[in-house]
Amino acid sequence: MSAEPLDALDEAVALRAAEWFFLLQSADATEADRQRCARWRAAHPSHAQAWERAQRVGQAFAQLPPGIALPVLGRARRRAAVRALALLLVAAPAGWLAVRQTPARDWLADHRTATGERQALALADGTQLQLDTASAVDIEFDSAQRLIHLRSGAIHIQTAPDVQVPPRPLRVATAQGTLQALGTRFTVRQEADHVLVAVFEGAVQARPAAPGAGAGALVLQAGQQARITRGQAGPPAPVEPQADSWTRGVLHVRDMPLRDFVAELGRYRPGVLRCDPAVAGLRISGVFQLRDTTAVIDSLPLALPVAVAYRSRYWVVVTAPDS
Amino acid sequence: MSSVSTVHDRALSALYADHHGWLLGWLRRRLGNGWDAADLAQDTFVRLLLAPDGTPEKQRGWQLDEPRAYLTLIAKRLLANLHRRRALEQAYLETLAQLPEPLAPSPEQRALLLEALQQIDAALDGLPAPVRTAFLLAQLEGLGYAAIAERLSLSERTIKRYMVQAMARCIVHMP
Repeated sequence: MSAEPLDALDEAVALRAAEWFFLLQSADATEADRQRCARWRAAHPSHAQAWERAQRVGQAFAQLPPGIALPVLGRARRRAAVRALALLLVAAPAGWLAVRQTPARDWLADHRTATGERQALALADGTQLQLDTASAVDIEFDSAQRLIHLRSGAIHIQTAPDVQVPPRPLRVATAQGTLQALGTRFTVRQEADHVLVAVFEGAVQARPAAPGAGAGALVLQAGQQARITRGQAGPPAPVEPQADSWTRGVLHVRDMPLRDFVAELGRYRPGVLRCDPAVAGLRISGVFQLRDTTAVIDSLPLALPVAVAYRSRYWVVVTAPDS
Repeated sequence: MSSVSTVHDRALSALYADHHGWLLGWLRRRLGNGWDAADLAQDTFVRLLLAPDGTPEKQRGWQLDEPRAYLTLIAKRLLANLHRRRALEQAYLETLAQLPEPLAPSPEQRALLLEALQQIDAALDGLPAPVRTAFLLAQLEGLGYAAIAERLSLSERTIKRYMVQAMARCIVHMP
């Protein structure tokens, strides 16, 4: 029997086979029903073939462990489908609804990095743009402005003065609002419901997309950072030292809780990297090469009282020793 | 070899020679990754080679008015497939990570299970969310139509229709 999908199989035949499948499965099926089905199957080779396939579909599902298959196959695709997911998982652990997705628009973005990849590029006007891990941008330069759309992830920008006269403003558009560069070096990082803007040189004006009463644009000076939500920009806080160390290929941290460190390192590594709550509060400091996350993970037991459990190459848990 | 297939071969070779390099560059820019781009560029042309005889473009001997537009269309479909497969694999890894140790599948089982899930996911792709949800609740949770109808606030008749619709799709698309 052929194993390819049946493009030639009449959709009507498939529907009929599906109807028979469910009819005979139900408790109301009679002997007469079974005989009618047998006659239908015998009427044409394609009928028998479709019936066989229906049986195989049923078997394929029967072999799946529901605890795994249901959340995976039922995962949300679009915002509208989150409701469908909630219906499937009435008593779901909180992790399901936070499954990371790469929206289709990111795959078709002008510039995109995969997990663990970083990229430096020069834009048409000489502006230096660096993409962090799993990031995507669209570039839209026109006569009025130089616009970078941040679709996901994080970027580092070193602006160049526009050669055009009069010079066009350089802006970064995000889901939460628009940033305008005022001759500057800064980073923008997209989180679930806000962007984090950190300024290293010059200044950046941040304008939330839907400012509430009393909220408005905020100008961040060098050495300041702020969270921008749809409704509000700021308040400004001091930039965390070495916040842009990723642009130099390292993760430079001081006294960071292990939970946060593992989350940060996990951004650069495909798969799953977790930290056991028992050791989540331990503090870690140092400079770590992002190029080889496995080496970093393997070095953790040398610096801290932890152990590393590899369930598979891309499913790693940092735990207490002897746990 | 028949003369028709020789014509096809020549036309496809010409398409490849004229456009493979361009397609590779287009994909590289979108994927930010040379290996995926090379694979998808190859897959695009393989799709043409394996196209069923009923394909209109094949029936016209692969004389395309807009070859790059056509190739882009196929490549985008493959991109969407790749995206879906990776999203499923990511969901799968996260699911496994949440399981208590005794329930976790063995390494051998894990690969087989992922393959099975990918096949089903591909077959169900494109079904409207309620149809998919109803089908999965029945097949994986063993819920009866009455229970599913209540949960989705739909009639039992609609649920029955959804089940047939989803199963028919699987019959056609699952290997």
